[in-house]
Amino acid sequence: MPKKYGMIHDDNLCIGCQACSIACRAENRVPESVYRLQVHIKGPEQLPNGTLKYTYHRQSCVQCENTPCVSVCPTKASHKDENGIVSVDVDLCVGCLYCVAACPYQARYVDPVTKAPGKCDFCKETRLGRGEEPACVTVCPTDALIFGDLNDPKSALNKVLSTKVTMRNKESLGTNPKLFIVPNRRGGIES
Amino acid sequence: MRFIFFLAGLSAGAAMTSLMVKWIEGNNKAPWDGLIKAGALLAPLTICLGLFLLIFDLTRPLHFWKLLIHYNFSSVMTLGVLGLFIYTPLSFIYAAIKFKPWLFETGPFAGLLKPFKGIIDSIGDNPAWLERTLFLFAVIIGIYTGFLLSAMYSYPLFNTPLLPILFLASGLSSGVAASILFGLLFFKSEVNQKKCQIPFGA
Repeated sequence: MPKKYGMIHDDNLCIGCQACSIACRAENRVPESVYRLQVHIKGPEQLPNGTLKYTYHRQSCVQCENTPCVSVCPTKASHKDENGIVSVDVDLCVGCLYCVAACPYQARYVDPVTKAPGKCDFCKETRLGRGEEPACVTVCPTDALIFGDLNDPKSALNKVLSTKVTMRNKESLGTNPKLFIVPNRRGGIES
Repeated sequence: MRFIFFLAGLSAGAAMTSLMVKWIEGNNKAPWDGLIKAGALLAPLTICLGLFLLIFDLTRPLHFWKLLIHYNFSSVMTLGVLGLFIYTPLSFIYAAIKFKPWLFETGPFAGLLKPFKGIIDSIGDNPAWLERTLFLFAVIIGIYTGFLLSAMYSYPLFNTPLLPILFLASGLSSGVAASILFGLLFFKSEVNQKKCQIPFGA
């Protein structure tokens, strides 16, 4: 049975340290002017009880099931593999940048070296092949990132999904992302 | 991208103008003949210029040929490539029929183009099937650029079913305008006083 890789970003555990974004850059040799992953920090906002809160947004590919970037690509250079990971075949790419424009999550960049779009592929070429987790997940000091197989009911990913409330970005577009977010609950009645 | 959007619309608009004027007014009737010829000439020239500039809009221009041999039928761009495969040759054939004497007899390339005369002759002077197909594909090319943008739901402003119609309307208006300008600039002899004389009181 093919795998269906997904990820959880827990906004309550994230501290915005950017270790994930640095690990990603090092592992995938991402050029300096672009990025595959960043954590965008919003805040501080003052809560009604007087305390402050930050919100953290994982700015990266959300690995859609229903992929706008793949369906607009005229040469099938942008493709989804059997494990559900979306990546770019640089050989087939002509550089029309239709996928960059079509991505509702602004997850793609133009690689300054190959001139083809690049994006997060869950470290498919490097770490996944060796049976390791993506670089961002491995280095996260607070375990705010959880990676796993959505098809495996015993995976850590599914355990968290069944116990915590999660959401996905821009769900109204019907893209069906495989990046789940545990929303920030600070400022709620029970906090 | 901006060039192909303008030039493809202009080409489609010029082809539609030329065909519509031809269907309504017929050939060799001043001043309409200048408009028909200008549209027939503009259609292949502008689409070629647009496609040429489009290649340099790609970030990997040397790989553009991969666009021609790899297809993804869920992509509007592939459908546009296939549409252009049909539209571009048809627009060339239509122009060749319109400029047959110049191309094969009086023009500077007459000797070079002699072998193709038989093909153009066999199509005839007013091939209804060719004109209708060309018109259909001119409409398709005119709306294609609109569908290209409206397919992206990352831009709510573009993601509207009105956009293809807007693109067709803007292409048609620029095609009409360019045909009039071109007709006046280069085919004025077709619109000269002698031919345009209206027999008042006759």
